[in-house]
Amino acid sequence: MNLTILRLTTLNNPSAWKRAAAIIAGIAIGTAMLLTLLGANTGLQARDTRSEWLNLPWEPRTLDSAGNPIPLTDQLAIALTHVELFRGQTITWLEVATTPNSTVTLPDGRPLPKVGDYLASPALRDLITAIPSDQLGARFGHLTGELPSSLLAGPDALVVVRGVEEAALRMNPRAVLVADLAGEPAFSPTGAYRTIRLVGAIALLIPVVLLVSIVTALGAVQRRERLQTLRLIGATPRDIVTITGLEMGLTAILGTLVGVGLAWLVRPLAAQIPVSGSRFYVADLAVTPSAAILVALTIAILAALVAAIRVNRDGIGPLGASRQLQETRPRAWRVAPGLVGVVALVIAGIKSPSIQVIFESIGLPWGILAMFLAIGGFALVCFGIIFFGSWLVYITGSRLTTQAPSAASLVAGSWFTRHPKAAFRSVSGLILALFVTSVFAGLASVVGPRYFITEERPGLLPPNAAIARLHQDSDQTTFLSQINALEGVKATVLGYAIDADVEVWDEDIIIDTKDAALLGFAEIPDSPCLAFNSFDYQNPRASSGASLTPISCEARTGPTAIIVFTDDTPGLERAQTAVAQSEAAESRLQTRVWEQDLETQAMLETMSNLAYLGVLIAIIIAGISLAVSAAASVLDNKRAFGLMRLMGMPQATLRQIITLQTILPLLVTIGFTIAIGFVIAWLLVRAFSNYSMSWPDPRYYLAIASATVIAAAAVIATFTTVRKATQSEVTRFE
Amino acid sequence: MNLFAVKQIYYTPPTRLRRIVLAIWGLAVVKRLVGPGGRPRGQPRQIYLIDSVYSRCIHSKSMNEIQTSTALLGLLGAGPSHGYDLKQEYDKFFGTKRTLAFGQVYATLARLLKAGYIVSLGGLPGSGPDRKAYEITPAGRAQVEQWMFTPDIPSQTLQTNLFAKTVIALLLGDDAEHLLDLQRKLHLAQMRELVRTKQTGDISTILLCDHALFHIEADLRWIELTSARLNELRSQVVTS
Amino acid sequence: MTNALMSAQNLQKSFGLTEALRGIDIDIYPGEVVAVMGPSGSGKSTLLHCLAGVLSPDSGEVIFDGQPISAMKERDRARLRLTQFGFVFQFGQLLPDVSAADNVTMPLLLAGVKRKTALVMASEWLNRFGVGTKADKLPTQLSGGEAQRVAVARAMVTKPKILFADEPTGSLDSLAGEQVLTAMLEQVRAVGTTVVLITHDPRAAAYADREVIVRDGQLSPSYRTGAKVAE
Repeated sequence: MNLTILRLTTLNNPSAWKRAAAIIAGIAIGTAMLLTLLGANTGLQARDTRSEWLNLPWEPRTLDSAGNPIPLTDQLAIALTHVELFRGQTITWLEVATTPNSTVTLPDGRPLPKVGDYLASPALRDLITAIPSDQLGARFGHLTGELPSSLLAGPDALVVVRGVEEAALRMNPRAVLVADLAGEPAFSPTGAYRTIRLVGAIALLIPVVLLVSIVTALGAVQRRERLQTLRLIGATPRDIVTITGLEMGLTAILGTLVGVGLAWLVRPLAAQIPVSGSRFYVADLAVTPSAAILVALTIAILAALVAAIRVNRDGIGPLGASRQLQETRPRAWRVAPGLVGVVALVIAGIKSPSIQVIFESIGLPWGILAMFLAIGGFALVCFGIIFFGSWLVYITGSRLTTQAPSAASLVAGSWFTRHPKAAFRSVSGLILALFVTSVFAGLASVVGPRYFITEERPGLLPPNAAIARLHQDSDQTTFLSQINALEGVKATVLGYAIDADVEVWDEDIIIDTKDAALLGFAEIPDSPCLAFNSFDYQNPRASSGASLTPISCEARTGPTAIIVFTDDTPGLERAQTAVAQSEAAESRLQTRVWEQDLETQAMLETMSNLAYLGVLIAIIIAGISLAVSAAASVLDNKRAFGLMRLMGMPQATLRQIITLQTILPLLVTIGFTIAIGFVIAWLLVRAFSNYSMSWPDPRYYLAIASATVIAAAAVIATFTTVRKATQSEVTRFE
Repeated sequence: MNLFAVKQIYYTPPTRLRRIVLAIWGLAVVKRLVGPGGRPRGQPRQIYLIDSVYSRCIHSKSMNEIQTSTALLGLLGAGPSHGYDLKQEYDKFFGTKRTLAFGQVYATLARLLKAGYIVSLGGLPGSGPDRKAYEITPAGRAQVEQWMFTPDIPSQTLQTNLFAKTVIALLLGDDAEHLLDLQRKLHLAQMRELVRTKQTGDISTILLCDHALFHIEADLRWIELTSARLNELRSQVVTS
Repeated sequence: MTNALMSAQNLQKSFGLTEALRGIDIDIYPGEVVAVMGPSGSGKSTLLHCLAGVLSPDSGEVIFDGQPISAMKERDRARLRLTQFGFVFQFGQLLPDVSAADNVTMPLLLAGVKRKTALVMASEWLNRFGVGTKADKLPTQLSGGEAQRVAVARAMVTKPKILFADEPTGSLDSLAGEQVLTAMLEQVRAVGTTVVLITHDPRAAAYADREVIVRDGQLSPSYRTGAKVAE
């Protein structure tokens, strides 16, 4: 019975089909987005799990408590990992030393490589083929196989597993004994990173939810009339709720099905987006069928419930048409939630010591509290803007009606005072998107410029120079002549250690005075030998570097370090290869730029790319919501507008009314929203770091511009609707 | 200018219609004489009913006379008065078209006296009726009441009579609304009868019934409007 | 009084500051056709809505078939409207995208009748009102009079005890109005349905057995007894 009524009442006319199509589209986009994000989440976790084997435990070391080396067995191997920078990309090394009949294997059962052999990931193998071997390939040895994708984070992963001499590994204090390569779970990404991911995902979904909620309001007036007729002839309120819920549920199910298909199509594209520096395997982003079905059902049921609850609360009665639902007038106290959020952020941002002391005295550590205040405050401000916007619109409306300079502003103003919430809801998606963009742009402007310094500064390791530690007792002469003979190596400087028996100094490298200038020192005291602190010398973040202290040359032992100056990157890489092949070096060549920093920067850049992408999507969706909402309001007021046309109101005035109704809420709130956005960003930066903000990225202005264009496009699109909707047929029966 | 100049609504004495009516009636009679079976018995009777509605028009004149005398009686109901004053008042309320001649007034007063509806209050001895004062009796009051609260059959002169009754009722402080209601009831009852007739009649019956219905409806609309204007009417009547 | 099918006692209803009904008593007897007349704004429609259980009066009671219905829950009153009452309003209130036949089946579908059976009943009733050939047309393709007759068919399809009509001929010309009223009364008398007819048009009211006049939220004094007028 109900299905027939459903069909007859709601699905029988073309505009109902259009509405259904719009709902299906909206829900499909939302479902696809949700599934992709879910897939990305599981993909990220899978990624980390797959590369767990590269995270070696800290214990046990190769030496026992007495300092004696623990011997290798067939069940034990020595392993050492390090991360190396190569032309801005990171290569992960795992060096192992095994007995000839070792039973220690890779996690998938493959035997570990012997001395001189190595296994490489496909991406690394391609890289090795592309680069001259003296710059890269020769470091590793002899390629015996490829690492399978089940052991790699992603298609771009550069990983090498290399077999080396036991003795060489034992010399490195970080080497550990392992019985298997199960590895350990990665030091999980900080809570902040996860929170950001979560917040980002939610921020992407909100515009979609808004779009769907706006689309379901399409044609509400007509549906109301039909439902009222049913109520008059005897349908119970429950019948109405059932019909509405079923209709929405069926449409939503269709939408989710389309969405699942859409997600499947989009997956290869999404896999191309680099997150944390690496792309995904397409399979990583897949969602299990059961998860997909669960998501689809949940969305459909939720949509049906929301529609049913809404219609129940509206209470369609047999006579409703004559008594219009009035919105309650928004009051000024609506500013409260946003204000509370701002206050919380201010507390977090000001970092006043007295407040910190108060909280710590009751046992709340400041760090965690600051995080709660920041996240909670941010969420409250987001909500507060939406909450408060309708009051602003109401005030604007009442101002307009009292001071109306034209007919259009009078009509628009009175509409604002009667439906402030609906007026604001249509632009709230755009406002929220721009707010979040502003906050993000403010935050990103801090991280944008590199906070490590790469230019030449006195007292700092020059660019294109690198420093490596040498084993004191090793054969250094061959190594040195090798290095100096490399193409691209300009010069080398030897550094010595301070004999600990003589004195213990902060400074740990002694050089000949003649080398001081080459090393980049400006103030050179007069002394046969000079000492400086290598940490200060290599510190990427310092703006001023190490300083030279005079010291007598008798105190030195070594050489323990070598500083290599090169012409260009290939030269540096060749030097690096030579260092890798030689046993004289204790460590690789280290430039002033640290891998972690580059990695972080890469990660932040990809995050900011992703964020702007998300912002663009959100703005587009919000713009569509705006257009749909404007069209809906025109259709709902078809009769009023038609009558106005009949009375002689020119089309231009009608267009002015529509423009005012659509754009004015946006204009009124946009200024203070963007301002608040930047203030919040400033507070957040202050709360969690000591850096300062600067001007936002050009992409921010692009985002603002695109939002403006989309809003304008939405309004213009409505004009056609207005023209068609107010033609003479509408008022034929008046 | 007389505030109460009521424009008489003359609907066209339906002479042509009466001719049709008579023709059909005649035809029916002829058919009854001529043909066996013929029309059902009810037919001529219905035409007679309609005919009787219109035939009241012929008697309108004598109806008019009865109304005028009762209207004068009603005016006396407001308080004793001389003949001369009475005529002035009548003219003031009921319009130039129906100005009474003095003779008519005296004749009417004599009739009322004879019927026992008024008594003479005496005056200057030896003066004529215009100098005499007359007062209404309880019997006269009853007559006025009965006249006011008896609705009229719809006819050409209905509005003027109804108007007279309304004004008198307002003057006397009686329930004018009620008498209008009573008139309405009768009109509606008449319309019901006509509708019922229509349902079992042939096309000519239907046409005639429709015509009557529209006229009665016109009356009803006037009654409705008057009823809505009662307050204004009351204030005018009472202050003059 | 005791054999009244529906009786209302001292109905009062206000909308905000406007008093629509100020104490109305009315009795409606089985099988009769009652016309409710009065000027606009007098509360006629509100009276009808209260009698039909569409609105709940602020005070007073409506008793139908011995049961007070004003305090019933909306769900029960809706069921009452579905099974015992029929409605014809001025603009028909047919669903505009649904054929005439489907419109007539609506109350039956709501009551749980299978669609096939409902269509059969619907076409039977459409025939009785002389619009059987228009069964597949949409309301926009029908003339005013035809649409109203479809509306009456929909009202009658459940064989209601009372038919409530609010200005059913208000938007029709004289001939169409007459056709609708004649057809309606013919079927109504055949089934034995009682009719409460709101109209300001005396010629429409003339189709009724009696009339009551509502003024300013109350019955006009002459009609206060509400008893059947002897003809």
